[in-house]
Amino acid sequence: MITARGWWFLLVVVGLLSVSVCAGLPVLGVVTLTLLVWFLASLLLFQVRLRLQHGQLVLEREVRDERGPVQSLWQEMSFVVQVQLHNDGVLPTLYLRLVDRVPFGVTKIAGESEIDGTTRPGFPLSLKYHIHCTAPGQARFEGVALHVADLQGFFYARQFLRLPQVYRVLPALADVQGHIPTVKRHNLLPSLGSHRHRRAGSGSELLDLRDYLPGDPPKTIAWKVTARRDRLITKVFESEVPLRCTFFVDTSQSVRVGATGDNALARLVEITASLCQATAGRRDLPGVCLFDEASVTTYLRPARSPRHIVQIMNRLAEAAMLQPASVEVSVESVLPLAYSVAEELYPDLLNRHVNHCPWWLYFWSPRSPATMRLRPLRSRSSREWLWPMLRRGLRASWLWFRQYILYRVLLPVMLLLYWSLPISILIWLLLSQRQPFLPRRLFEIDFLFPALLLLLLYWSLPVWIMILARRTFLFRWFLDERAHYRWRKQLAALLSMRYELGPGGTASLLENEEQLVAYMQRFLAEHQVPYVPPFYGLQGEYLFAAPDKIEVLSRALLHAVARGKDNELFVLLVDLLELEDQLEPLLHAIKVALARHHQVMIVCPWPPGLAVPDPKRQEELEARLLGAPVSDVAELRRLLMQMTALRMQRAYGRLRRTFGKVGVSVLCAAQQDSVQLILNRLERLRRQGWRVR
Amino acid sequence: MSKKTDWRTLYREPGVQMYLVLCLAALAVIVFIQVHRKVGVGSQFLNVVLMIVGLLGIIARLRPAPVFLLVLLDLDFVFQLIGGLIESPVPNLEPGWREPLFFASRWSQEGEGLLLCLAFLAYCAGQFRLQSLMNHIIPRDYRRTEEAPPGKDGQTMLRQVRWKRSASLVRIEEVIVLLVGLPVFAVAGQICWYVLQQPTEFFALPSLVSRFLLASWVLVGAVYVISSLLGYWRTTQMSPEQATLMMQDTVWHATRGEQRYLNRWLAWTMIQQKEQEEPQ
Repeated sequence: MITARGWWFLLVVVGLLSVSVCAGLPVLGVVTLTLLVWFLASLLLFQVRLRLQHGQLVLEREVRDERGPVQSLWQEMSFVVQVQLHNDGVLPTLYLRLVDRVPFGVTKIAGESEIDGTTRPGFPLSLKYHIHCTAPGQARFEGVALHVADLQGFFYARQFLRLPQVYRVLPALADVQGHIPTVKRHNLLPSLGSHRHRRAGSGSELLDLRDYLPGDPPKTIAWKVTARRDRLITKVFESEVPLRCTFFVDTSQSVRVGATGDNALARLVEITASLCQATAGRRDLPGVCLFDEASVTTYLRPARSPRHIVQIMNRLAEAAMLQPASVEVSVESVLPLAYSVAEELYPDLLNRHVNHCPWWLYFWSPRSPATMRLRPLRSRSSREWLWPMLRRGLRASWLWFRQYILYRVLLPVMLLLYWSLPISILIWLLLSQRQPFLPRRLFEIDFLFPALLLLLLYWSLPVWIMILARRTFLFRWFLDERAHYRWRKQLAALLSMRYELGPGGTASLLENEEQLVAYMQRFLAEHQVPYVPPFYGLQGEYLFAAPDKIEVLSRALLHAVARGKDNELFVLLVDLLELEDQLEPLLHAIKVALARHHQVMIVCPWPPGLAVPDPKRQEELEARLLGAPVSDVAELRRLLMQMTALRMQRAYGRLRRTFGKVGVSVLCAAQQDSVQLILNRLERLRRQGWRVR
Repeated sequence: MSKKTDWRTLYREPGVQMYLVLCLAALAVIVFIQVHRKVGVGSQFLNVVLMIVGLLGIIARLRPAPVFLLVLLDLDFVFQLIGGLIESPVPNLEPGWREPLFFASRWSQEGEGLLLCLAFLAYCAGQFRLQSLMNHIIPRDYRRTEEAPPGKDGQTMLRQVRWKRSASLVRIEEVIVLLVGLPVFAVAGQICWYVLQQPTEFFALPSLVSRFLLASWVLVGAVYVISSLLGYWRTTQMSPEQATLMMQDTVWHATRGEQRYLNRWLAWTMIQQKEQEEPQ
């Protein structure tokens, strides 16, 4: 509440007032007393005005484009955000600084998202800025932060006016060439009869000629050819039955890794959205199946209505915002971020009046070592087994010692002895009648005041030492751990209330690390805060491989095949790199699909920043890496990147060979022109002709 | 915009100029009264220092200038007291200052004291408001950073954001309100000083100690009562979320021990179960 400036002023004024009273300096006394009265009155006035303006402020936000307010945003387009803070009270507010929180998924390109001033009834405080949507997903506007201060800068309060508004950022509309139109087009359908679906049907384009069969309508007889060949020949026309195309999009943990909007999932979503629009543009029927490692989350059967396309876009936008989550990550890696987000968005719920953590609780009831997750043992060899076991034993022993001996016995006893030492000496002196050590009048003012001051100084010495030494390693570690303990409790209470875990939720989250981590990740994901979890677990295993998705995908593919009405195209947009050993169920499902005369193709997302697969360059890279010297860190980093690229390229090669054996092509979704490549591929597949069942 | 130009632009703002004039006028009054009040070379030298510090506070934006002014106000007397040149309290130098200033019969001298209080108050308020306009009004936060202008080597670094008050927001009304409020606080200070000067004795303690204890208790009691009332007011204004959290927190505090035992065992069981399930 009182700022550093205010504290300094107050301390100096009170100190000088005490000096003036003790030393008998009336001028200084009157002046400092006047300043003290002014300071306290200002503080009271600030508090009262802060209470009065509570609940009187109303926030309004509008996102609009050149035509007016919008409900959804589009990728690669710019919008205007207007925020107004109205005062419904009678009095003007205190000095305010209004800061609008720009969502993570969008970029501010012009204007200011903060403004200062006061707001009076009828005179709102308003700000306006432009945003640009760079990636599909969601843009969540949380609300505005209000920084309230007095004009002298003595007092300060921070509030957050919550007004959560979620806007879907739909993938950009792209035409067949992959160009993004400048104006939104509602009708992308071409005129009828423009299909090139090479199978017999009742279209208008001639496909072939054949001998007449009984039952053929007479109007299909090609009379000129019949006359020339002297037998009845019938015209066969192209079919106008549209192509049904289902996109299986991988939304598992493996593609979520990376910054939201810049990870493999965002790329897959962009490609899927473009393909869906292109497919719909040719009057084909796109469908979408979103799956992760647990189950199929969304399955939209192929359809063609505009509502269906919008539904696909909405689902894709929601999927693009998925963030990586793992219960294997430690509390310490998520807690600071989650707490800082909570502190920013929910300052009222972390207030000590409603969410209190006693200072002594850390000493009395610290985290139990029994519920901490320690590094598990490996038992492959004695070298891998002995040292970890020793480390684990030492850590567990230290934790037990700290909790039950140090904090509960040693520290209190030492402090008690330290604090009671002067009183014990005094009592001993009094009881033993050692007059020379005591003044004649113990409670004489000349003795009592300095003695009390000295005693206070002595008693507060441990606190002073801690304050002065807080930047040293030992105390910083201790204070950090204590701060983490408080954050943990406050966050546990907040999450328990937010997710309605009941009265026992706080204690449950405090003790159960796995549960707390899961809820913290959910909290971060709901507020769309980018979070990069540790990629490797306690045993050094990669946490985001998600091999279970292959089983889920296989089941989904078989399900789609079983319900296929016609020869369909299944596009699997899935990350299968380095999962070659577990592809058996998928290969089986693909064989079934091919046996039913469906077409399958695979689009594999490529890790951003790595060189795309190229056989010629791969050989060069291999040759270069063989004798590459490592001179500095930058060189080592470059070398590691190249090795990773090589590893991925080899994995991609293996993947192509594996699926090539069953006649399925694999495309790499790395380049910017991937969409065009895939569309060309689709077109080629379409022109190859379809085997008739 | 360079840093220099930034300051120059700020000084041209009418709002900043208003507070500059206010501070300069208050400093002039302070220096005038100090020169009039004190005699001796040392005291006059101290007055020159006081004037320089005051000017630095206005022109060079020396942030602790009000605090330095307060310290310098009677520093010469403190030195004389320490050196044993005068006795405490100082009855012979200025008999008028020993009495309650505002209520004394001799208005001319006591009016000077009141004016000094007013001038100090005006200087402090004006100087701190200038700091809000030119330095920062919202406390700095290490988490809020911005890109600093590139240095000589062309590299940009992050620096903490300083949220200043916009100079265009300053209105003449707020300066008038400040000027009108100053006498109220000055008179209130005089009254408090008068009350503090009254001879009080209890528990056979010396008068000085008794007054000190009484003043402390009155201050602590007033702060307690006011903070309790404000706390109750805050409770009535709680949102449903805050109220739920407070009740949940109360339950947790009351049953913390039992809940801890139960949940600790549950968590331990889950960890053991998981470790057994995990393949070695």
